[in-house]
Formats: sequence, C-alpha cells, structure tokens
Amino acid sequence: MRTRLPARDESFVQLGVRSDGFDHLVALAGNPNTGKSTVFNALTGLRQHTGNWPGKTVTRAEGLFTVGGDRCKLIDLPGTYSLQATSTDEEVARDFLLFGAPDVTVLVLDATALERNLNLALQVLEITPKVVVCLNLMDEARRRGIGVDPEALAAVLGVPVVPAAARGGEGIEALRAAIRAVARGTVVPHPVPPVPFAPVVETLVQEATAAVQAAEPDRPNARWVALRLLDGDERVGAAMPPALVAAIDAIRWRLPADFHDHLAAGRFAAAERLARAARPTAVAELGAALDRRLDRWLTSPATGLPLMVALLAVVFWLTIAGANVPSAMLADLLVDRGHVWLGTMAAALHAPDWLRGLLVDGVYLATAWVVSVMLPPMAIFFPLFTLLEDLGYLPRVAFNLDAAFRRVGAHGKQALTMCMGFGCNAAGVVATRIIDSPRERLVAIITNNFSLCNGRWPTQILMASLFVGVLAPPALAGLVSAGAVVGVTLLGVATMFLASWALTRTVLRGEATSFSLELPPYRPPRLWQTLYTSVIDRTLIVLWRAIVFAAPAGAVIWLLANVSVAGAPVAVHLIRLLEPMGLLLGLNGVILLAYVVAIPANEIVIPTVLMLTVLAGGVPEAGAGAGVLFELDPAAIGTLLRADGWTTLTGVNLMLFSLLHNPCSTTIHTIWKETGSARWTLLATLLPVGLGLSVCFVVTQVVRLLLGA
Amino acid sequence: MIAPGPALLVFALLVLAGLAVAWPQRGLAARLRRARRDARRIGIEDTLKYLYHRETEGLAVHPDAVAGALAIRPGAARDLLDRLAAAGLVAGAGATYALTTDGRQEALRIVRTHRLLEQYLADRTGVDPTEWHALAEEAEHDLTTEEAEALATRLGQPRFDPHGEPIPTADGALPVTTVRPEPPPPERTLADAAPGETVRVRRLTSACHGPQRRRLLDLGVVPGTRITAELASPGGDPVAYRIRGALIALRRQQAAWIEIDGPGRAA
Repeated sequence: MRTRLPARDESFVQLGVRSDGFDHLVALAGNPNTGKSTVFNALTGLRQHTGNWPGKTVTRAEGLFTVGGDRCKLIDLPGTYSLQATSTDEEVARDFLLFGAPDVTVLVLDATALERNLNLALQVLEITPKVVVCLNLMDEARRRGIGVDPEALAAVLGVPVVPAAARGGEGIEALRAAIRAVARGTVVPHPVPPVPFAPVVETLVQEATAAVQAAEPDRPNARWVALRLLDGDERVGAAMPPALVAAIDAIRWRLPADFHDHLAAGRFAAAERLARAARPTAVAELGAALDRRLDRWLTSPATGLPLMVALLAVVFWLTIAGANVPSAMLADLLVDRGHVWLGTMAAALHAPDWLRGLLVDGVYLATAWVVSVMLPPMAIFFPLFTLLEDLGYLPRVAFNLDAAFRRVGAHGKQALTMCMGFGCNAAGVVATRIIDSPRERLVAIITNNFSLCNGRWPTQILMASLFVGVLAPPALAGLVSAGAVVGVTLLGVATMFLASWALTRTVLRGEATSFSLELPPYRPPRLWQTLYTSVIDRTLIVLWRAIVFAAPAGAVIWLLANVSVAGAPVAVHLIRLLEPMGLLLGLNGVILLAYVVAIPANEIVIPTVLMLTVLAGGVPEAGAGAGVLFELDPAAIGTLLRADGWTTLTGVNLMLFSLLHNPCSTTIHTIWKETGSARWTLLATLLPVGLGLSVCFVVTQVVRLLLGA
Repeated sequence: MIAPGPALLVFALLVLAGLAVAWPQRGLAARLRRARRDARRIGIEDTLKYLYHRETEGLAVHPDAVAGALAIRPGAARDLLDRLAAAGLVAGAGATYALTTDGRQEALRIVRTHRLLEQYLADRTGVDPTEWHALAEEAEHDLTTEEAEALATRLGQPRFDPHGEPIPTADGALPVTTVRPEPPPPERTLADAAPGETVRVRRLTSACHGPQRRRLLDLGVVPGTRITAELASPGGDPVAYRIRGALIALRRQQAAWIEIDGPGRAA
C-alpha cells in the first residue's frame, strides 16, 4: 500500500513531525496506564507528566534520544486499547503506525495484565512487523508474584521482548539497544502468524484475502488489507482497485452481523494462548492480597467514605493553613519591598511618571499580587494531590462517588477534577483528560468553575468575616463566618450537580458516552519525582499562564484609573455607568467593574475593589494612589466599604457572585484548548455568569421585598 | 430604586419566555424549525416509504391506508398518490397503488438514509434508543444523497441498522432481506453475579451498542471470558470486576448487557 500513499517526508509534514536531525523514527504505543509515559521519559530524559491513571496522553509528545551514535526521534502515541479507529485517540495512533511509517514501534505491555495488552499487540503486529516489546511493570509483577518469562514471550510473539521497570530505570538501556538493532536491521522480527477467527468468519476472511492476493500479488499484508476492506475502511478502500473493493463488498454481506465481536473474540483467544505460553511460572498472586485488603478498607460503606472525607479534609487544611506563612512572606517580598524598590529604581533612572506608573504600579504590582496569592497554595495542593494520584487512591474516590455522579449523567472521576478545581480551575479543566468518555468529559469541563478555586477563597473569607460573622455574638463570629464560606462552597457543589444534570439532559444529550473505570493496583509513591513533576508540570505552568494574563490586566487597571476624560478618570465614568445595574443586583458599580478588569485572576478582585472604591469616592489619599492596588487590615477594609454604602446584602451577594461568575481568562483559554470548540467555551463562560447575575438579582429583590424597602 | 415586586415579576416572565423559546423539541424555536421544512416533500417521501414497507409485506395499498399512516385527510392522500403517479413513481388508480421501479429506487434511498441515521445515532452518539426512530424520521428528509453517502463512509459502510434491519446499498440493492431474529432476553447477566463469584461470559446483548460495546470488547469481555465480581462500591453500584487480570468498575446497566452462563454451569 505504501506505493500509493504519500512519500515519507510528505506524510511527516502532514502529521506534524519534522524530518530533520535524526536517523530513526520510533513510535511508542500501548494500552493506557501501562507506564507508557514513564518509558517515554526514561528513554528521552524528558519529564513529561505521568500519573497512575488510564488515559493520560491526549496530545502527542515527542522527544529525542541517542543510542550507539544513532539519533532516534520518539513519538508518544495516545494510549489505546485497540486500533479500530473509532475514537480520535485510536485514529491518531493507527494513522501514525500506517502512514507515518515509523522505523520501529515500541509496544509497551503491562506484565500484570498481559492478555488485554496482547490484544493491542496483535493488532499492531497486523500492521507492522518492526516491533520491539517493552514488557513494563516487571517490578509490580514480581511484587504480586506474577511470573512472566520474557524469552518465552519473545519466542511466541516472534519479536524482541525487553523486560523493564521503567519507574526505576530498569531495562531502559537494553530497550535502547533493541530499538537500534531492529532499526538497523541487525535483528529481523518474524511476528506470530495472523490470528485465526471463528470458522464462520475465517472462511470469508480467507476468501477475501485470496481476492486481494489475486488483484495485488505484490502486497505483503494481504490479510490485513482484506480485514480492513471487510470492515468498510474508506482510506484503505481508496488505495485499492475499485473491482477488488466491489468483490469484497459482496463478501461483506455474507459476514455475520456481529463480525466485530468475532474479531475481538478471536484476538483475545490468541492473546490468552500467548499469555499462557509466556507465563510458565505463574504462581498465586501475593501482593494482590494486600491490594484487596486495602480496597476493602478504602471502599466499604463503613470505612471508605469517612476515610475519604478525612483525607480530603487534611489535604485542604494543609493547603489553607500551610499557605498562610509563605503567602505573607511572598507578599512582603514582592508586593511591599519589591514594589517600593522598583519605584526607587525608576526614579533613579529618571523614568517619566506615566511609564513608572504603567510598568511598576500597573504591570508589576498586579503580577506580583497574583504570584504571592496563587503560588503557595498551589505548591502545597498539587504535590499532595499528585501523591494520592500516584498511590492509586484517586480512582477509588471516583469509584466510591460514582453513584452520585451517575444520577446526574456524569462520571465518578468528575469528583477528582472537581477537587482539582478547588486548587485551580484551569488545572481542573486539564485534569478532565482522565475522563475518557466524550459527554462526561464535557460536563466535567463546563461545570469545573463551580469549584471555588483558591484565588476566590480570600474574597470569601474576607466578606464572610466582615459582613456575616459580625451578625453573630463575638464569641461565635469566627465559627459563623467559617460556616458561611463552607456554605458557599457546598452551594457550588450543589450547583455543579444541578448543572451537570441539566446539561446532560439538554445540550449534551447527543454526545457519545462510554463508562469504564479502571482501578489500577496500588503503587508505592515516589516522593521526589512527585514533587518535581507536580511543581514543574502543574504549578509552574498554571502560574506562568496566570502571569501572562495578569500583566496586561495590571496595565489596563492602571490606565483606567489614570487616563482622564472630561475631568474624571475613565474608571469613574465606567463605575457610574455600571452603578444602576450593580444596585439592581445588590452589588455596585465598583464590584462589576472590578470583575470585568480582573477577569485574568480572581486573586486581584479585592485589591481592585479597594483601589476603585477610594478612586470613585474621591479620597485617593486613603489608598496608595490612582491605579495602585493595595490591601488593608480587615477592620480598615470594613470601615472603608461601609462608608461607601456596603451592607450585609452587598457582602453576601459578592460571595455569591464570586462563586458564580465567568471563569478567569486562564481557565477560559484552557477550556478552549481542551475542547477545541468555541461553542462549549462560550457555554462554559456564560452559564456561570448568567446564573450568578440571576441568583444575585433574585436574592436582592426577595430580601428587599421581605424587608419592605 | 426599582420596586422589588415588579422587578421579580419581570424577571420571572423573562425566564419563562426564554424557556418557552428554547425548550428542546417543544419550544418555539424547535417548532419554527420544523414548520419551515418543506411539508409537501416530506409527504411524498413518507408515502413512498409507506408503499415500500407494505410491498415487502406483500400487501396492496388503498389510499385510505396512506391517509391513516401519514395522519392526513383521505383527499390529501389521493392528491399525493396522483402526483406520484404523474411523476412515474407510482402505478395504479382508484383502490390500489404500487411502486414503479423508479419509485422503488427512490423509496430505497429514503429507507437507506433513515437506517444510516439510526445506525449513526446508535454508533456515534449517546442519544437514547427510544429516540432513534423519531430523530431519524425527521432528519431523513434533510439529508442530500451526498450527505447520506458521506455519513455511510464515516460509519464504515454499515450493513445493518441498530434494529438488525439491512441497510439498502447506495445503488438501491438489498442483498439481504431477512430480518435478523431477535435473540431471547438473557437468562442471567453479570449484574446478577454474587460478590466473589466467578462467571463465564456468553455474549454481549444487542442492547449494548456503539462506543459502549467497543469498550467492553476492548477490555476483553468476549464469549468465554471469566469474570470475578470482586469489589462493590459503598452504594453497591458500580461493582469492580476482575477481567483478564485488571480490576475494572462497571455500572449495573453495563453489567446487565453481559449475558453469563446460568448457575451451576460456571466453574
């Protein structure tokens, strides 16, 4: 078939692979959750994020490595269970193996679940014989007493098999050598003969294969082409003579309707035979007993749910309590000292006032603010969460909570992406990649914003203590305000369930759905690697995106406060314009403007509100200057806001609006990148803000009605 | 300041108006969309399809029967049939009508589009099986022949619709006419397996289709596979099963798609 397909270099361009600077092109294929990404990292030394999760690799990663002087380009294909090409992942993987023409394909197989992995291996071997099997997770197989014999497997499969434990780097050197040997042709694989299917299918497949051979005598993979044509594969059909396609079409009608079931059954029967041949020393599964005991504890009604709540509570408590001190230190360093120091520097350089204001007061200060509020909680939360993920505990949480999510049409794993959202919604949206069912993943993406992210906690805590806590007797004030914050958080969870329910019954009704939840074995965590990857991959990437968006916002805020039109700053005009709408919603013009300009980061909402309040109130001497964000101690903030006309209702509405408004621009950008759809991005943006405006309006008007105001 | 009572009233009215317009299927927007479609063409296509189905059952067609099937007045049904006869798609007059060769081809094209749409809904979307027919019945009139062929290509030229009816080919042939017999409902499914029990899979039932069926096949749930019910979640649904060495949680609805050997036969 290759003769009729685009030449190799041309196909590279189409598939986005650059053909310069390497000797061998190597593809990495395998089931989800077989440690494929770990093998990728071990081979290339790159630190691509890996987790104890099925379905992590969605976009394709590339890396380079050198073995014996040969430079190899490694392409990480999406982890798939098969190559039927009915999902995007499967299509990407299959098309690359077919049309990308890799010199070697490394197949990562999980030594502990050989049969299921061999099903994919057989499908890959139907396409290409140049395969090296990396028999991964050998350490886990040993721990669980599963004896797999790599040499026996190599003998029955007919391709090189390298035993490995990629987490510890075991077997990686041998794998590199085997790749080189196959790429250079010093080792020529002779793969296992094709799988025979049940007689009712097999006779027809042979008839079709004979037809292909008669029409195209030079074709080496006639049986595979016959199978593709029997399956109605248009891309293969287009490369074949029309008479052949028509002849095979006639044979198709004699196939049983459950043709695909027969193919799967045939492959699994073969996989079973191969696995039996490769496991001559299989003994009782030792480690599995420990897993089972752990599972009893972690998923039973009596102990599973309390343990889960306690564990998550500890994670959140460590995040909130642990972030206070470093946050204060960073604020002192970046906001207080850094800002003053840069101001002095600018003065020493005789920079014009407007430039100093725009860059130091605007761009720098807003960015410093976001960093000092955002970094510490994320640097604590993400490693803790990654640790639980690495252990294999998080899939059990999804398992425990699936019943609740099933009732609203969602996936149990949404519990996890929601938890991630409490840290950062952008990270929560990225985390939805673990949900491998299209409809359920969209639900999780669109509703993630109802998880109160840590950028919004400061607003909630401040408003609760200023306006709700004071209603209670002083002794109970702390408790009542904490209760109010928890109440808003729970309201967010309730809204998430409600929105999921409504979405799956209306706009998402037609999206494809397929549930399955793999509970991988528990794995001992790797502390340092976890720390490293979670800080690099999650914290810093999220922080970087936030900075990219916060810096221009700082400039906009400063300009609004300092550019005057008709005798007043632009911001004041805008506040007056928004004031009637703000009052109707039980908020005010300052709050609405603050939410418009602080779209990049929820962290700067309160400082922006304070700055705008003193600006519009005509008392800039109360603040730090026009356009300069500042923070006061809570009591002083209370005095300032009450003087501006804030009531308990304003405070409560701000809490509600802080929960229910559009995602920050980092999150919106992430949603767009993850869904690739303007429609879903728009829905995810407008749904929460529409709800927020409605809820604030109804609450305000009902309260006014009841109070007779 | 605006009085709260009227403000709330206006808001409620706005919300109700929004729902009345946007409500799926029965909202104003959906009704408008339906009303805009060409009612006459739909009538013609539905008549051809009806004649075709009666023909396969070996029955002659009286105009009143057409009126009954399409829920129109008998006079309107006669008009439709006369117009079809004038176009050479239908032969006959008075009491009985039958399709001409051209008419049969046209009818098969519509049947093909309908069954392709049903197969698409079953294979690629999460639409509930109870809605397949109604949705396909509506959309079959909107698809051009080219669009229907593009759909067939995307679906891998399916041979059967989700109900097991053969899909006519693009050149109007129907190589198979027999309807697949619906297998009897399963005696026992994986959902009935007791905790800790190991069972043997017989087959996947026909209610399991599209992405859900492919997922189960990929996981190795094929006839003969041994599955152990290992771990129940706190609410009892989902249950985690040991399938070919891996621990996979399935919901009760999915487990009920997997027919297993009756008690006493499993090892």
